[in-house]
Amino acid sequence: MRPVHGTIALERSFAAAPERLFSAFADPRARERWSAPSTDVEVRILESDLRTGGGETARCGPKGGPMNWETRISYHLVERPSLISFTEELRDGEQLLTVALITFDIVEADNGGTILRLTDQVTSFVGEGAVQGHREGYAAVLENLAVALA
Amino acid sequence: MAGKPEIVHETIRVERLFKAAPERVFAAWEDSDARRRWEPTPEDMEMDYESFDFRAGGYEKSHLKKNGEVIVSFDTWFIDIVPASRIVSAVRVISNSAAFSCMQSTIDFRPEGTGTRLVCCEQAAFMTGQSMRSAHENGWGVMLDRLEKEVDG
Repeated sequence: MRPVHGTIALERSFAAAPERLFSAFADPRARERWSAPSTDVEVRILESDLRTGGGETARCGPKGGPMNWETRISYHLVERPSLISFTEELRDGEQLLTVALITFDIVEADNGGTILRLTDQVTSFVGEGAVQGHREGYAAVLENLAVALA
Repeated sequence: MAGKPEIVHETIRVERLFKAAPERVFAAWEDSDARRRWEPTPEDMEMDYESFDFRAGGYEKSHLKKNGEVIVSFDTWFIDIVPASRIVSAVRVISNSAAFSCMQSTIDFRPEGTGTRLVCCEQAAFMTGQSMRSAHENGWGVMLDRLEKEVDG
């Protein structure tokens, strides 16, 4: 199957300050909750080293299932509280599903809140459906994040 | 955070038809001596490779130098390599100890007749807020010219 490329650009305002948003990302237990795209999906962050040059591994899958999906992250650039840039590889067993260059551009708003520009530059090796999956997934993740920060 | 530049994101695609078969084109990456020959280096500069680690999961660090002084450094991660078929990598570019761009690229080898159509797609984030699209397009063009010379003679 030929690779498919897509760019998903999302922007959202939060009343919470940038530092709180960054902290919600930096706390693995908090992020396991808000980064699950639906209530049927479970995310488990196995190890996380959130710094420039650091890495992370996580597993996810339907709740109660075998957690077959593995994500591996390389953090390219981390600047607290304003920027998190990373490459995320998603595999189902040995099969590489997607590779995504993801940027959290975190800007302090005039009211002291936060404007988050989330850009997901995704390549799918399993067709267009996985690009759509990223699109729907991150839209849901931002909803969850808003709830987590409220 | 006043004055923080808005990060620019771009997708750059280039392709080229080679006379050589996919196995031959792929071999130009596998062989580190070949890479030293064809990987592009701007005139009056030199590329200093700390290591070659061309395998899935491999990591390389390299520096572009001018008169012995580092101009930019590259951290490269090879995410997926399928011989004669696909190379997926991520690159962070650092200049003056500040990261100024992050990229991921997919190089897709497509057999065409007895040759190869190489389809390259780079997804880039430019942290300085300035698009480097034309410089990157130019860079891919130079790379493909040199690769063509290497594999097609």
